[in-house]
Amino acid sequence: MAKSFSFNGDGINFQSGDSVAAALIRSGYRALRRTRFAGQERSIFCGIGQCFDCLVIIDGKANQRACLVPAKEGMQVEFQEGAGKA
Amino acid sequence: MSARSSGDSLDSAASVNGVAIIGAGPAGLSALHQLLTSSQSLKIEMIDSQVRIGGQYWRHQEGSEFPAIDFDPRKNSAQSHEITWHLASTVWQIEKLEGGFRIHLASNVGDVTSSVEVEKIIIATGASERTLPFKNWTAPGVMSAGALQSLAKEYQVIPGKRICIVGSGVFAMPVAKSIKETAKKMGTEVEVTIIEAQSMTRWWRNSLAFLLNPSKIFEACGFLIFMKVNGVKRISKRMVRGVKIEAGGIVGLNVARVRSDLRPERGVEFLPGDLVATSFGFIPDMTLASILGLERRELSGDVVVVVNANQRTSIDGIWAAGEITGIGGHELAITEGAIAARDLLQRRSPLLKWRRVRQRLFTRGLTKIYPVSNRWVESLDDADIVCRCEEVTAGEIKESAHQLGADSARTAKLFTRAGMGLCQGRICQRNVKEIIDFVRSDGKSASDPNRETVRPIGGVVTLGGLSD
Repeated sequence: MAKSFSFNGDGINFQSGDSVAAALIRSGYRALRRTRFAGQERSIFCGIGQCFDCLVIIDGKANQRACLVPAKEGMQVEFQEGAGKA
Repeated sequence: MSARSSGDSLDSAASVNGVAIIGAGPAGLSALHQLLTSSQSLKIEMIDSQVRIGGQYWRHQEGSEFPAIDFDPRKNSAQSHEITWHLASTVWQIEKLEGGFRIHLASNVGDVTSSVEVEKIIIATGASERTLPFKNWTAPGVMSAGALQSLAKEYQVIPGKRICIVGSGVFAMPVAKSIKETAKKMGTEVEVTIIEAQSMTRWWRNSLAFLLNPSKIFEACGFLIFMKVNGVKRISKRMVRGVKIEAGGIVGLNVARVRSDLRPERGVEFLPGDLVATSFGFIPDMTLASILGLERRELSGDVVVVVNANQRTSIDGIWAAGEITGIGGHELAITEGAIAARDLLQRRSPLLKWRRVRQRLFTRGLTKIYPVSNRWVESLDDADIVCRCEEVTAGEIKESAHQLGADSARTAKLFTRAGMGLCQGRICQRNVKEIIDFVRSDGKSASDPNRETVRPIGGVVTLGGLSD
């Protein structure tokens, strides 16, 4: 059985060694968050943890870099609005 | 800087109470390789911000090796040495102690902190990719060429069907190759176009450096043949003006003909595509070098660490190697890392030093082929975002120079917040500096390489992590 985590409730299959961002992009997702001021959609940009553009909420924790965090079974990943605070 | 090796081997002399290598890329691993040959038992702390070793250059899949160093440091049992790996760890501060240093580490999420004490440091923090801003470069589906390569090579993800790689420099070629190879493995079709700002004919300028580095001739020919055989299209003397978005998706990009100083000419052409990757060379990652207060200088527009012939920095007990001493690629980094570690062990390296001369000649030549002059600023509209984190536009940055007297990236940051966001200017600082230099009537830089990049904390740390 394929391993999976959820993104806004959708099941995302991932392969071992995947980052959260890699698994999401393989599944056809692009936008991962919206910016604080202009509300622009953003996604992975530098891919190596330097630009902080691929921020998502993981298991309730905001501002996690999707390109750095390894995908784990059962993880709950959410699209981040602004600074990620409710 | 007193920098002479005594010629005696350290192996019989006083012991070293710990060496930290910061950065496990080509330079850092090469330094480690040398240290492991010491007959004296060493305590080595290997630190890297990534989950895997290999740096940006060897972003291989798990389990692969490092051919150019010819050893796998994880398999090397090194009975006589004690190696501690601190991966997924960011160094956020380094304290000077009596006869050594205390290195403060934070996990990538910033809430787990620790520290190690060492006597000597080899700093090899590498470089990050340089990108230039253009219209809609913040849209999902526009990424750095490095991100594209990492997706293709490391994760076997091909994020588009018609991929355009825009920019300047040799990096686009290995990226295009990775995409084509991965697509072939997966049995999918992908169209790849490289849009290069400079003309191919500029290569003759580097002919001497090629003759001294014949392996580079084969490497270049290999790429050209690969691109021909695999149908990678190549367009020269064009630069991206903006990405076109329709119904929420990328449909292509507008490019304009540019001169060698990147000044755009009239008129734009449209190229279809659904994913845009961009790359304009590399910028040394000077965050830790500036926290340490290492002496810095400017080299072809980059701020780099000043080192002597043995890779020693201005601070006793700290060596620097690789991209932070001047952008030069992985081969030069390997050579410099080896020289640094050998000097630490009080060994001489005459042959490696000759190799370094040769390799530096080649890479300095590349910067002549692919110069990035600040005339690229002319391609920018005032509404285009420059600082992605704080969403600051080109117009706001220009205004800070015109109206408020900003004369450097540092002063522009104070007025506009450009460079004050989460990435701490890693993406935009250089571009902000060049916009300011360009719009100031004297066109000159007021930046001081020993001030411009200083930041008090070198990574993300939570307050909870700090209080531990």
